[in-house]
Amino acid sequence: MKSIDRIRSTIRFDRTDRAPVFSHIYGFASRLKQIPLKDYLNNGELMALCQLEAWKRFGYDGVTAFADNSLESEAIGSKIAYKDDAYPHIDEYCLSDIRECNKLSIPDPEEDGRMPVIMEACRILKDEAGEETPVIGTVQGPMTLAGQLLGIEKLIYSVVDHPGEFDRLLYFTTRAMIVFGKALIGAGAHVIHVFDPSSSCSVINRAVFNEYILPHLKRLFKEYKDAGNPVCWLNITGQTEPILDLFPQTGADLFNIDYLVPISVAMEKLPKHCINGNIKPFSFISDEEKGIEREAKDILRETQVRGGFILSPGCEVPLGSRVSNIDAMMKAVRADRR
Amino acid sequence: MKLSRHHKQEEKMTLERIRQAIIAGENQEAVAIAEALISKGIRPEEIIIDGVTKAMEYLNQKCTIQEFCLLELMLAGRAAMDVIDFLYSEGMTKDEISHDTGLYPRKKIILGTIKGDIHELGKNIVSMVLKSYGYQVIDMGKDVNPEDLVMAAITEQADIIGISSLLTTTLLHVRDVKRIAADKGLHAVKIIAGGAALQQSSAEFLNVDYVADTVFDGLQYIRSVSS
Repeated sequence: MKSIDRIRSTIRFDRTDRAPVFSHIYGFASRLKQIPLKDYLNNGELMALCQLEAWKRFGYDGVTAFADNSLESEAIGSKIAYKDDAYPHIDEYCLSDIRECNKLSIPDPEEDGRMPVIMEACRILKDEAGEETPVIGTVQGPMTLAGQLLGIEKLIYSVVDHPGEFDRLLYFTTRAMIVFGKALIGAGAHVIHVFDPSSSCSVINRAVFNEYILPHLKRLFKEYKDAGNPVCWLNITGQTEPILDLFPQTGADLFNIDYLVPISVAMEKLPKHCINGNIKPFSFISDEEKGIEREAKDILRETQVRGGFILSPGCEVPLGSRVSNIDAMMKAVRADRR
Repeated sequence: MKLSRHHKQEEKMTLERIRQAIIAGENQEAVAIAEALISKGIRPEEIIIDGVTKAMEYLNQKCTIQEFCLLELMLAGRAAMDVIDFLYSEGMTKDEISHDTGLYPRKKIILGTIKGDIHELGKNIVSMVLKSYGYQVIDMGKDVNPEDLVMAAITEQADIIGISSLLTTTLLHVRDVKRIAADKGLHAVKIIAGGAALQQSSAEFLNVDYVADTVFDGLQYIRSVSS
């Protein structure tokens, strides 16, 4: 069974030969090729090359065009500090006051910052592997990008101090991510992965999610669906148990479950929607192969009857992960029969 | 006698109101109530013990790893800090607060986001919560060298070093802190780690004394080693 068919069937709760795997391997792919992370994050061709090699090496079910969480904010105007072998961080946010958010402009994915790097990587991945495996385009979620424009501390206080401006900023970030996501769909992405960790209940509560975030996520996914019907993947890492029952309203097809939420709870709250998860990411650094294999097998066993499940780490595979631990996750899934 | 009982009851109700205002994150209301209490002759340390600390105690009970919300904690923390800052402005000294809370022994804590990481939010929340409990916090900021944390602990005669990190790429620096402390002859200091990346790990792996799931989990540990 081809990866792309395995994913599509799993989303529909149809039978597959085995559970698919989304690896959450991003910058780690550069380590495999012994390429400086900074080069990977700034060169679409290198990014695609590393992604393809990692995919061939491990045999999981997707390749990803994604650099880092600062990319969109940089394209909008924030100043970024790079390091040779760690992800960059924002040195100066483009917004110093949320009341100035009406001055921001929507970035052009073909022109601004490093967005063209992602566009190029996406096109190469589509050409080289798109018949076989899904190409995943990743964009920041509305709340997370807002935090990357203003700073998360100011953003959180603005929920109560400036609720009108807070909503206006989310409107802007959603519009920016609609444009970026649609460009990625046009460049060949089969899956649009919306990464929005700042919307988790580790950061905000259910009431804020329901009132402010949910309407924007609905708008975002509707626009993506109208632009070519990609698989819409919502990834809110951290604690999401109190809002899981609201996820179907977003219109997404697939929901990421982080390690903090038991997979049994996610299955109960999302009985008709595909989920992925939730090996503890840090285990890829600290555990032995047997530990990872056992954890993966336990999750696969728990989800076997239900279907609609993609095995993955709860969040990104850390840069310092052991290669043998990725192999161990894949070993567990190859023994799986659906 | 009747008047005195009425006065006590009113005072109790107002202290209850300041607790509720802090829990709700209503910082301006909390400060206004504190002002009213001071004008009625209530001692600042009573406001700290029965108002601020009790409000944080309520959040302590509420905030487990399953039910931890940054938004609520930040708003309550801001209200608590605004009340404390107001009491400082009324002439109360930091030492008075530390001594007079009485419930908790006077301890000094060095805090910092470790080298290689610039995320300060988690560390700032820890600082707010510990201060509202009357602990003395020396905040070293972000991207802090392990050696600088240890040197600050020596200079300040601190009891605890708190390390925060959101990233897994800082692990080597986290592991270094205890080794450097031992090399400098600092064996008594306790080292706590926390933050999104570090809380997934173990104390043994990180070479620290404790890994905190939440700020209040860290607080319980500090209280346990302080007693």
